[in-house]
Amino acid sequence: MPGDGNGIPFSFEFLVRPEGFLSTCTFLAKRVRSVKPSIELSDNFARTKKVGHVLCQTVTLLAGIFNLATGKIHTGRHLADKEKRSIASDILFDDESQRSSDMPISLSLRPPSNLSFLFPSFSSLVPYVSRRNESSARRTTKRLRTKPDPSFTSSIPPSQVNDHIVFNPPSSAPSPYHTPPVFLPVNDPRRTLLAQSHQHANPYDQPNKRLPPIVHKHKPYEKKYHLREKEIEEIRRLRSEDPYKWTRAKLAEKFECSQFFVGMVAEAPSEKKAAEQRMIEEIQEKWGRRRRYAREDRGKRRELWGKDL
Amino acid sequence: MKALHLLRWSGSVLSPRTRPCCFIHKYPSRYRPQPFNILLRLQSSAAVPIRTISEPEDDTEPQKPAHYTLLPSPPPSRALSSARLSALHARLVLPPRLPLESLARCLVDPSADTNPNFNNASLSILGYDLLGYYTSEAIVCRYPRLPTEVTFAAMHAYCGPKTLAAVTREWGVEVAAAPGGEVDPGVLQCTRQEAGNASVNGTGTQFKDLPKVAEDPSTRPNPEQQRRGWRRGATSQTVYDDDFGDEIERTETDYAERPELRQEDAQRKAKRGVTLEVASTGFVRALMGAVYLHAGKRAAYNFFKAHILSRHLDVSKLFEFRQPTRDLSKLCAREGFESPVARILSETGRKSRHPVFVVGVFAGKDKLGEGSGSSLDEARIRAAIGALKGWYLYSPLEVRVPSEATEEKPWEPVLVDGGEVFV
Repeated sequence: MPGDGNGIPFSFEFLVRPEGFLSTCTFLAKRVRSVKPSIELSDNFARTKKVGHVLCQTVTLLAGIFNLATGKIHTGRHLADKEKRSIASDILFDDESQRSSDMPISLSLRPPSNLSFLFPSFSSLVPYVSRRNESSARRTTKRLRTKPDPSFTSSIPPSQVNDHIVFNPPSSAPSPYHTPPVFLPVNDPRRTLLAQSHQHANPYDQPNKRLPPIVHKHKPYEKKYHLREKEIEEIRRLRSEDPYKWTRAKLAEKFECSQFFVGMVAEAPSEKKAAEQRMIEEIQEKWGRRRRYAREDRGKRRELWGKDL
Repeated sequence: MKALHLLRWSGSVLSPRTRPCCFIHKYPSRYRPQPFNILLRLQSSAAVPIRTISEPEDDTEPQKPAHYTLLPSPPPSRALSSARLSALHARLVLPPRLPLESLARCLVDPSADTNPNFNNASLSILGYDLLGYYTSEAIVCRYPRLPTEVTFAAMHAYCGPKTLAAVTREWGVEVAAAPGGEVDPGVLQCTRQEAGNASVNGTGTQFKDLPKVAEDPSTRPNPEQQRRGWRRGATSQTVYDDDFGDEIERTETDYAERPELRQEDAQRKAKRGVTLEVASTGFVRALMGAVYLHAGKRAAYNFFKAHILSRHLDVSKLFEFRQPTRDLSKLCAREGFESPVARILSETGRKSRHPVFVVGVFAGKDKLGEGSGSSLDEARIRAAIGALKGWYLYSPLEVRVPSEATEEKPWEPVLVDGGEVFV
């Protein structure tokens, strides 16, 4: 391939034409193989044997980005390392002598027509205005330019980078071995130490800091403690008279107390309990496999909560 | 606390052959300049009969190696020539005051040799008590608020039979196929129990198919049952049961009430079969006792620390809660905190298939615990568990145990907690 004499081969022109494209590729190559930033794609650089791999990477990336940009899909299979090398040599060397003497690059056996994506004539067919190289390249660069966490860089001069330990643990559940300050005994020194600390002080102690929202599972209610001995006797009497009519719910509604309280003061007779248990078992017998398994799994999961697993 | 003269007291436990005097005599320059006899005579209150050097008559040792097969376990004199035993002594960095004969005796299970002068039964009783004492004080002083059940579980994990069997394996102690006088004294001597699938005297019935005594699953007090007239629970476990909260099999009162039990036990003992776990447990306990008797308290404690206490145990994984939210509200009521309220700290994907909620439990403005889950209920329960663990796993900054107390630095009382939550 003929070169243009400026260190960049002719065949690169269509790739370079959109501004910043080559720099993107170099950048990508750097990301992949962590090449020193001083390395450029030039003849001198390419002649050294060491960078053969980097070239391969670059070519892969170039090809990939080119496909991305033009929307064309080439041969449909991944290029082998050898082929990449041959492409690299095709791009970067203009005479046969350099190729054979300086780099152990084998010649591609495939006809050049198969490497259609490298032909300048191909790109020239596509009108310049319709190409979206610039924008996509910029987007790619922008996306890759992620800032490191401030804890990695802040206030550390480059000369002292190796003298610091960066402790940046991922967010995780608190350890059960960290006793909350309220639970510490009065004479424990950690009580005062934690209260003085900026990091571990209670953030909700500040007047303008509001507490997080409550989990509205059960609405809180005030206990009234209004039932006396007489009412409790009445509850027991009703329950024993007709336990099927006077259920917990009915009694709780009548006496304006909780169902738990009714169950506490007047337990259902054992016959009723047994009958209800039979009824539940009858219902459960009608369950299919999926429903039963789902219920069993739910129960097992609930047990695991208790073990904190 | 005064240092005890254990060597004088241990005479009744250690058989005459295994007294450390032999060892001391062998290396006089390293240990004591004066012979042991003079020491005994100076201390006139010594309880040991002076027959240290002379060989006792009851120890009839065959003169020829061919007659070793007549003995149930290897004679103590062969301990000095066993490479395994010396290697084990060196590998465990045992104190040099512990002679090889004692180490050999620790390896003889009562199932192999019924003679209490030559098996490790007495040493293992002492070792059991020492291990139980050191472990329980370490756990209780480190986590003073631990519930009783969890304490028992931690005791099991540190020095229970399964752990001690694992310790034996880790030490590289091998088991003799069958005990006998000709066996190398460096291997564990025990008569193995018949396997469950072995047949009973060639009848074709398997051992595991034999009817067993059905255990009463109920924990309620049973007046008909004479052995146990109380309800079994944390309290009765503390009072009546052993170090691990397990029921003690038979006591003298049981024998007094039901004399037939004694015969039953005697029959069982006559079979003399133990599992590997039981034999290994007995060995580790006996070694602990032997180290204590020969080298003293400090060495025994170091031995305990090096081999038992150094094992990693995550105590927070031993808990199991059934109704954590109820327990937490009871705890807060008992300790005078405001009643706990669950609050959503953060959430994501509430309407999605995999939501995550992070819920904190608050008493007033103080956060007690935090938990996450895929439903509000799960997160709430996990948060309550986190709070309860935070309470129970409190550990003081400086942990001192009673056995560390000396005359210079006397024992200072540690926190004694009100106990776990009962509902």
